[in-house]
Amino acid sequence: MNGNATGYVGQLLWVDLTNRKLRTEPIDPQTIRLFLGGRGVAARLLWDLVPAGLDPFDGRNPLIVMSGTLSGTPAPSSGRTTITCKGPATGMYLKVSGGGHFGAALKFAGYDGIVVTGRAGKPVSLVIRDGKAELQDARSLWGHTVSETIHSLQRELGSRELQVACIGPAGENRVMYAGVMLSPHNAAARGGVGAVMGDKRLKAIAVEGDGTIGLARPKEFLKAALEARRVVAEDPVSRSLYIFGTSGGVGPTNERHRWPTRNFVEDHHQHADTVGGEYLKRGGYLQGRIGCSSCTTSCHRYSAAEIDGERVACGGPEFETFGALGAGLDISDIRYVIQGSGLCNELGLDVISAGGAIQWAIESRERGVLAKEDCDGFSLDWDNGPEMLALLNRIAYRQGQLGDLLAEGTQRAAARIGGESWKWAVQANGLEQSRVETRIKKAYALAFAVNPRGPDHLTAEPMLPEFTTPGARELMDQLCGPDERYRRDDSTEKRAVIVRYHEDIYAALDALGLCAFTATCAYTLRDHHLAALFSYATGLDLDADQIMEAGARIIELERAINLRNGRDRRQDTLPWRILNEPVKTGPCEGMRTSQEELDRMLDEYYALRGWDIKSGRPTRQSLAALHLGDIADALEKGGLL
Amino acid sequence: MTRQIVDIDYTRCTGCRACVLTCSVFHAGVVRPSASAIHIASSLDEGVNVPLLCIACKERPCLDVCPVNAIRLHKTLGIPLIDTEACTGCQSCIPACPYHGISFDPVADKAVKCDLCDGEPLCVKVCMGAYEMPGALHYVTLSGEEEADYDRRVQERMNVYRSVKDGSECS
Repeated sequence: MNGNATGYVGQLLWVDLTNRKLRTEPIDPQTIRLFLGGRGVAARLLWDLVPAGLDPFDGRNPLIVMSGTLSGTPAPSSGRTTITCKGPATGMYLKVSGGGHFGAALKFAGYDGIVVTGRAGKPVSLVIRDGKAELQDARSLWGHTVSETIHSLQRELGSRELQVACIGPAGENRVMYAGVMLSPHNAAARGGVGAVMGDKRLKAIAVEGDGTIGLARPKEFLKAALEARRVVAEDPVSRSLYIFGTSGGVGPTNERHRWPTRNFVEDHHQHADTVGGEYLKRGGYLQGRIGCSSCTTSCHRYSAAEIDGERVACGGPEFETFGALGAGLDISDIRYVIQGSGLCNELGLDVISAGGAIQWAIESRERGVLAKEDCDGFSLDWDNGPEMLALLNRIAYRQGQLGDLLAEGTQRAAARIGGESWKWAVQANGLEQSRVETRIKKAYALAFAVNPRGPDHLTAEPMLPEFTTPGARELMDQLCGPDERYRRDDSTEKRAVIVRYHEDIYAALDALGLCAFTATCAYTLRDHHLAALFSYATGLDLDADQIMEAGARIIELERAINLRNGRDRRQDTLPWRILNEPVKTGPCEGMRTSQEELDRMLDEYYALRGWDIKSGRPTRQSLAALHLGDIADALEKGGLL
Repeated sequence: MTRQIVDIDYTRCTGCRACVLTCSVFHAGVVRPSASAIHIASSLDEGVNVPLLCIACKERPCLDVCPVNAIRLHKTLGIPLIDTEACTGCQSCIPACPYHGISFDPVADKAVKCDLCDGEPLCVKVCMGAYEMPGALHYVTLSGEEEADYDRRVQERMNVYRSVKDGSECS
């Protein structure tokens, strides 16, 4: 342990699965100062460890599991854990994050993070208890679902306090959107991170401990944490998230015709009144709320539904789950969304891509591109809950032609069956898009296009323009001025400045282990709150500007990682349907995000970041300004600057 | 004597452990689960979380069992407090408490129990109830007529705790 470290523990566990070698290495405080922790430190490691063009299923691709620098402390909503690797779905940088208590427990077990490389000969689990780490035989766990795996490990090791991150069957079978579960209910799932873990034959990581997290200035830290908690908890959005969860947003989003339905063909779901978060509560499906470590909000649900005598309970469903497994499939019975959500968690599947893949299959069948004989007896129609549940199983186990096809994700599946099916594969760069109507919401359109992991909402949640809470209005005024026209979510103006802010603060939040619902969505915490929490915890004093600069540094580095893997402006794009097929009905009829609109926003965004507008590449100046001169040198050497 | 208590509605507990982490920082200046006087037993499968801390019982077996008289009744708060200077870390008090209200911090080598933060318990402050959201922890003065209901709820909570602790998955 790094004896001087406070806030963070000061050491990483390095695990070489091929040679079954474990070692501990200190984290240099300068790395924490520059990259804050968590996602930032992982990005730096990924840059160092992954050469250009590496196959994501090469053993050298590391799986980097990181707590945040404030994980395990009373800082508000500090329960996020990030996992970073080169992602199989996109072949690019991949960061996933999830809630729960794993990150905090990892620190109490003695480590800030774990860097796993290589591939085990036979399935293994990594067990870390009170600073001692070992690999254990996991052959008996292979094939088990997520909760079976967690229970088995808890039983074997004799502790119900054990926190477990594991894969389900989907990860074992390298489904291109297999996730890692951080508890039975908390997923870190996008981009196929679970397939990388499965490829390494690492079934689970179990952690437990009673270690000490020091604090540089505990009294000041506690005061800052209490103040930050108060600010977050008093926000009206936090309150709404507590009462209805993220899926409370389904109703209002649907009313405004921004709720992608039937594979993004429509943007209004006829059954939304009974398939959303409000009905989850009203219909009696909500069992309780689950708090991530030190959470001020508890947006996470615990729900249950019975179908034909079988009761399934799950964490969630979230807003995105209601989109992917509900509206997207035009489901009319909420119970199927609840059970589908529970099933995805058990199988270790990403709900967004799983729902996206099934929607694509239904549309492909409808359009005759997918022939009846290719469908393994599935009728593939809308609002077919039982088929959805059956297909999720087929996908996770790659059973049959259809299950195996859909397990590849929509980009690869469309390439395989051909025709024009790529046009309704609502993906870009290999990742299925989150359930956001990016034809209308232009800030999201830009954020999704430049997102290093593909078109999704978990590197920036730019819902600022449409929010009217005091915190949102104040920030909006600060970023864009008081002009009301910028407050329209379909405006293309000032989107670059909005997206940059969200990306930078989101990166800082991820590095610190804080939830996005502290500084975005609930627009309460600002850079100075993060600076105070970070500085009092670590003693590495950073001011508000330096926190935002560190966020920008993480974004810049992630961009550089992708550039080295061949991504620049050409891949900063959106699904074909979003760019080319206007909304067909309703008040938003005719709307789309055209390539011209996207190009204008991209120009503005690159200019703000100091990147080359023509290529979208970082420049020596932009890199050097963020103290990434060595990255600039390497890119230049590779002819990429 | 009226009793000052941290009343617990376990059905409202989300298991976030902000109380645990805060208690540790306030009392020990660091975060270490065992340095906290409050603990949470969770069953994620049933979505049930049961906070455990001193319930300010009337029997106070901890007072009797301490061989060095390190546990003494606080005159105004009406709860037993541990004199950490005097505590030898013998752990006699821990099994004596039927409510799991006393725990052991192996690093400090001392027993740990709630001291109500000198009359302003921080666990209550960080629990959601403080912010108009219905939290699990509430700081209240217990009147004579409320005693029976309080005792009944404590018993119910301890029953739930036992079922969580002995959950079939881990038996």
